[in-house]
Amino acid sequence: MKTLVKINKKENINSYISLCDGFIVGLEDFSIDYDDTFNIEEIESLTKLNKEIFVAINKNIFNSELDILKEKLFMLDKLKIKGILFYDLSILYIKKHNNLNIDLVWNQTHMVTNYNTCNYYYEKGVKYGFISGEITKDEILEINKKSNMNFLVTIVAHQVMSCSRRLLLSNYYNSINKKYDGSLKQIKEHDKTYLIKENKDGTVIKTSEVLNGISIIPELLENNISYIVVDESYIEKEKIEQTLKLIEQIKSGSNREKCINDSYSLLGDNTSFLFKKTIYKVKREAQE
Amino acid sequence: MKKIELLSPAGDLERLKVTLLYGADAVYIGGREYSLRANATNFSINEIKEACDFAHSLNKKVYLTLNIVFHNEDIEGVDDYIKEVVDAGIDAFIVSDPFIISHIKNNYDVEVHLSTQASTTNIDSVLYFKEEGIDRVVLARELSKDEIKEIIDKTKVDIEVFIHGAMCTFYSGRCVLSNYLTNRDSNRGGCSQVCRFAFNIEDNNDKFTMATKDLNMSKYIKDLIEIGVSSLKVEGRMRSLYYLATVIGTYRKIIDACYNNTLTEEYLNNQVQILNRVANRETSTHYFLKQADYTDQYYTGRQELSNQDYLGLITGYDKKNNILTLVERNYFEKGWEVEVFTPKGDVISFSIDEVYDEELNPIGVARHPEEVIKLKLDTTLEIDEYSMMRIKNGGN
Repeated sequence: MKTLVKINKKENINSYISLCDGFIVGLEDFSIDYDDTFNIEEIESLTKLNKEIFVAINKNIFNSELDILKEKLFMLDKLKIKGILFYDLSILYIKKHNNLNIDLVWNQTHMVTNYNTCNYYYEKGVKYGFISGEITKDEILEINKKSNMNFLVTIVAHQVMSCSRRLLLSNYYNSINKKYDGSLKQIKEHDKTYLIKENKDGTVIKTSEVLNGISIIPELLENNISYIVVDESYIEKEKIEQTLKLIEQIKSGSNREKCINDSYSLLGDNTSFLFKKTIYKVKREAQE
Repeated sequence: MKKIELLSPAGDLERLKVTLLYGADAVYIGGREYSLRANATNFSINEIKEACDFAHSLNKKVYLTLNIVFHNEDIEGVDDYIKEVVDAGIDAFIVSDPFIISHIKNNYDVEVHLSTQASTTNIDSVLYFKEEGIDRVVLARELSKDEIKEIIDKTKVDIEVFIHGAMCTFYSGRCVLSNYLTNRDSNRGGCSQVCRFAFNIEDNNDKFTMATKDLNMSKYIKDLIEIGVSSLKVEGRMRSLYYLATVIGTYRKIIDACYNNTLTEEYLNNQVQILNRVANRETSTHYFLKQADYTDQYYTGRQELSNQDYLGLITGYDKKNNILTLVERNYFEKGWEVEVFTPKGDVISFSIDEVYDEELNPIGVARHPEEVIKLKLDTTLEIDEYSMMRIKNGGN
């Protein structure tokens, strides 16, 4: 099982090189939920780091962007990157119709939730799947068992909760005759705080509590999960470095219990949905 | 040229009948499984069969939503369910999961429509699904007129767009705020509409809100017909009979006027005014003409407007004695200017000269919802089942 770091700040990448197996980076103009993105030349230079490089093209694509998207995909196809994370199905369509060799990662943020759909995409030539953050550990393991895909599982992150094409912060500040300064903001509802950020493509809202899924690493290892992902966004660089060191120790089998306990001190103990199912049939009795 | 379809929501059998009688060409409904409105009443298999029989008798169609994002536990039993629903006579499934699309297309002779939950926003993604055998794509609500037109021109796929009702703040399928804030799964029918909550923001005392105004495309139906849209969809499986009758009846008139070349500015404005009277939020065209901006949202906590235009559901008309019987919904009294509107589109305006109880005793005022009320009305027009009475525009 390999460890990937999702890079939010370009300047941090050097700090993690010796502590992980690869990186997930955003592509200029085609990625959301990244403060910094990389152009093709920069991605090419990343491929010389001797690390596995995944490129996220995770925004919703519009007609006017299709030509340039195709160009970028052709360029990426020539680079030694490991794969492209995709949200929009246009990417799968372009790959198929242009015989691109590049591997794809199904990365529809909240939809990678069952093995049948994973198998569907695998049969379409999609080699990897990036598991959604809203399912339990048991569901993750079942998906991995019943699908041939190779999976990426996020274990440390401020988790993405929603994504809009609307410029929600600019609109809000406009309504009170102020200008949005472009920074990460915190919004609060009752006693819970959330992170909100906007760029030209829209607005993303994330949890303010950090997901700490480090305790499930031993089970992920036993079940041959391909990748775990640490998302460095809005977490101090030093904490990410320490987290990566703890992960390496756990993977090597040494001091597992202590490392897991240390991770709680470092990142907190929020396990999000790993051990908690969501409700959806609120009125089930009434319906029956 | 094929006439554009008016597609209505229906949360139960009565709503389904009302919307079809008021002019919908097709309805979309949710079954008791796998639908994104887990809190709606939804339809049992027997009710789906009854719905299909009723719709087909009018030469109209019924579509069933099967558009949840599946988890492992949801997969077992889905094929049996699909088979039962196909046997019940459904005309199309509305789905978001490509696995389900290919499963249905490979095993059943029934149409499959791609749900807006898939947030399809461009030509190539529509073409992807075309190759998968999809019969229709419900486009994302984030698209402009030009973008929709280009997709239609370059894909030749049947395209459905939303024209009326509540809007999501976020891309459909890309919002799980409900999961994190209320533990209810928005992609499996549990959305608790967190986007309508008011938040505190770190650097201002005013509340931060992100709620959107509703969608209202009534002034652009002609444009949508001209660019080649196949189906116009109204949102709201949980809306009231009155809302559905008014909205569907009004859009029916606008569409027909477009095709009959009788759509004058005055006529359209009158219809828009009728629609505005059942709106409980302000409305906008959102992305259709421009990138949605601050004018398309709310910035105060209060967003819902109460509406008491709807006075009663007509349950009978005694032509011989000119007596109208209705079940009261909202307060009205002697002297009010009101109008009865019918599924056929007739509107009968009159002044209430007296309000009578069920035994024809004069009572002057109708103040108890669900009370049976009688009124005197002299008309030669047919007052069919599911006719309704409302306050006359600009009256009282």
